[in-house]
Amino acid sequence: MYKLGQYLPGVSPVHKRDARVKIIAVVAVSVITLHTKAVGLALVAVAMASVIWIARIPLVYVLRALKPVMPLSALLLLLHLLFTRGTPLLPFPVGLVSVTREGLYLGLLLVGKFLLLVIAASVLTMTTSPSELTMGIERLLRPFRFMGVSSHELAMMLSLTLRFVPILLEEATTIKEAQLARGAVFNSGGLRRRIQTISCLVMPLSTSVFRRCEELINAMEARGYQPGPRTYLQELTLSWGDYLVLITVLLVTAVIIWL
Amino acid sequence: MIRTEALVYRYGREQSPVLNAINLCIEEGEYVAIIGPNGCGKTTLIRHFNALLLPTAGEVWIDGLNTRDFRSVGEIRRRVGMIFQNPDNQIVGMTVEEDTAFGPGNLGLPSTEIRQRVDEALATVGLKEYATRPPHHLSGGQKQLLALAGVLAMHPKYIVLDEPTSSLDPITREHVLLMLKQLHRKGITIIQVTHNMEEAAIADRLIVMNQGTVVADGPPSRVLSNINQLKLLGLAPPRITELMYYLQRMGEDVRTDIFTVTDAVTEITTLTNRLRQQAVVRPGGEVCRYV
Amino acid sequence: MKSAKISLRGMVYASMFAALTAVGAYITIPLQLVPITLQTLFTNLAGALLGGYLGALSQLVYVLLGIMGLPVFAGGKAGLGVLLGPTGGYLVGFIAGTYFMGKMIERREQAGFGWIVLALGVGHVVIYGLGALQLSVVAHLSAAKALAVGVLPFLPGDILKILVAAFLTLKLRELIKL
Repeated sequence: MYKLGQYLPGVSPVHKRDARVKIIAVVAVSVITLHTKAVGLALVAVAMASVIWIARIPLVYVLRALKPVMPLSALLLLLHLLFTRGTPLLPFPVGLVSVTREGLYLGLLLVGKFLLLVIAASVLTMTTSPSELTMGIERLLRPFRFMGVSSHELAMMLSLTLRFVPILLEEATTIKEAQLARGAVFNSGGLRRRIQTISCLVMPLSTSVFRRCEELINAMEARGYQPGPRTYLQELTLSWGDYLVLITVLLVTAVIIWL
Repeated sequence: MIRTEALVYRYGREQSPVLNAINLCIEEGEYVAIIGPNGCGKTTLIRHFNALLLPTAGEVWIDGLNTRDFRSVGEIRRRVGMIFQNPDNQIVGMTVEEDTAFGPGNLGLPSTEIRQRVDEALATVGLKEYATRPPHHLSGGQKQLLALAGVLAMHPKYIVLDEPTSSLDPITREHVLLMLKQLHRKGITIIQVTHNMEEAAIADRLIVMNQGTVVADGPPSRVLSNINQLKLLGLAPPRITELMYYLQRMGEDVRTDIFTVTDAVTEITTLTNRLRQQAVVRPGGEVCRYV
Repeated sequence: MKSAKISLRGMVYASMFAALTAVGAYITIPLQLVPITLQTLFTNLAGALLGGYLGALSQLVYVLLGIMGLPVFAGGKAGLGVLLGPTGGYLVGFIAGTYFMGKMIERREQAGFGWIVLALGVGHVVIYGLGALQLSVVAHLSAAKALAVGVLPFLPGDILKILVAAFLTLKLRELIKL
């Protein structure tokens, strides 16, 4: 069955932190990561490792989160390895290009930064449920209007989307399987034929989505919804621990940026 | 009390109105079923009860609040909860409890109050143990119960349901109907549109609609036993009622206001017992036919 | 952008197109070179069917969904790291690009196939531009290399998807009530 996001329920101190604190912390770690060089990266890596340890996230899950970004990381490393001028690492050139020390350093640094960014974000989503995250985003954005939408409306839209992704995914899979069963071929035929094959997959999905939209609008109106401020089952509250973590994170970030 | 006065509704500039001068009065505490052929306007009618639709002509009053008055719409929607046919497309929360909290949140209640109402509503429908699960993992029947919980958390006086059981299997349907019966006993007015005549028979009052008008209105015993009228409208009366109807037409002394197998068994047993006794009193060849 | 209050209708349609875009990332269609996903097909449709404002909003929600950890970005990626990483420019591009697509299509009463294709193409120029820009800055690549790595491989699939989207827009726009 489709699993919503990467959330791993738990009771660790990391899990217990307020979603807002964790979001701010991830933004801070990202800023530091993008800002520092090798030594800074090593420190961030150590910090992330200890957070992962405290949160008791199995290493397998961290690696699984990194898997999708591996092809891109490999490509980046290769590009820099081959196309950076400097001191050659190998005594002979590989074809037209040569592997250089500078290239290796720059490539590893960039890939390291990228992977750390991904890990930091994954730790957030592994220790915070989608509902908490939505509430966190809602509260952090509460003073602002973004693209004509208030934080309440944005949270509502996120909630609706999270609710319907699994449903639509199931529906899309069913339609695609039905088409394959009827002998639809996606990877051959002329342009016109291909356009038609893909359309036959997307048309029924779209029309069913339009119907769902109409029913949802009715149901939400019937339950008294109107765009604008509303109240929630869980209001986030900051504990002493949350304040402590927040202040530490902000101080460390400030120190690293100004140094 | 829900009252419609000469309610007319037409979609756009279509010639024939979907609802044609409907005058209805539904008192508090009633259990009403609305039946009728497809396109008779029953869904359109109930959507007027919580201001989802506004009349083209005429008025709809909920406890003296007019649905046209935009200031009353919030209160009307709190008092009149609505449940739709497709359970999936009326759930908006990421978890069961969050979905239940949607209505109270729209009322702007404080979190503590919402928590209390959510727990209460989930306990009533028996979904307490699923509180933190995503709704996607619930069965069709459980989703419909969740929709009911979402409505109950608003503390409604009326619950209007649009074919709530049409997509459910027989066992969960029984469960949902039992739930409605319980809520009715607690004093909540139930108004239910249905295709299923056995379901309609549970109600205290049955309204039959055809082509935008009310063609019959009364207790199920009276309305459903009028087999000919139902058949004219293309509605299938409960099979068991039809059986009694044909027995009666064959000259047997049975009632036709019977909608359940249990009642039918009682009625037929009484009949056969009576005939047995008659057979003892007046022995003759004729009796063999019955026993 | 519009400052007027958004309608419930607009919210629901934008959310559903965000969900469709996310789901599209999971539907792969094999093509000769690289398999394509239907994610940007729904990005196209969001712009063409919902218009500039709601289309962009739907993509904003889609991007937030990915940032929240749902593996809905290309290749199953997720998280804030992706937005700040080398390919993050495309995500911003989806929002901006959809806005341009929608605004251009809105300019004509009943846009024809050619105009829709043109609008979607212009939108893609925005997406590619922002995508390649961030790629070259974050990954320290020259503009030519960024274009070669970040645009060229996707061109055939994207052209096919633009054509499909334009074709579907003509069929679907009568069915959508905004």
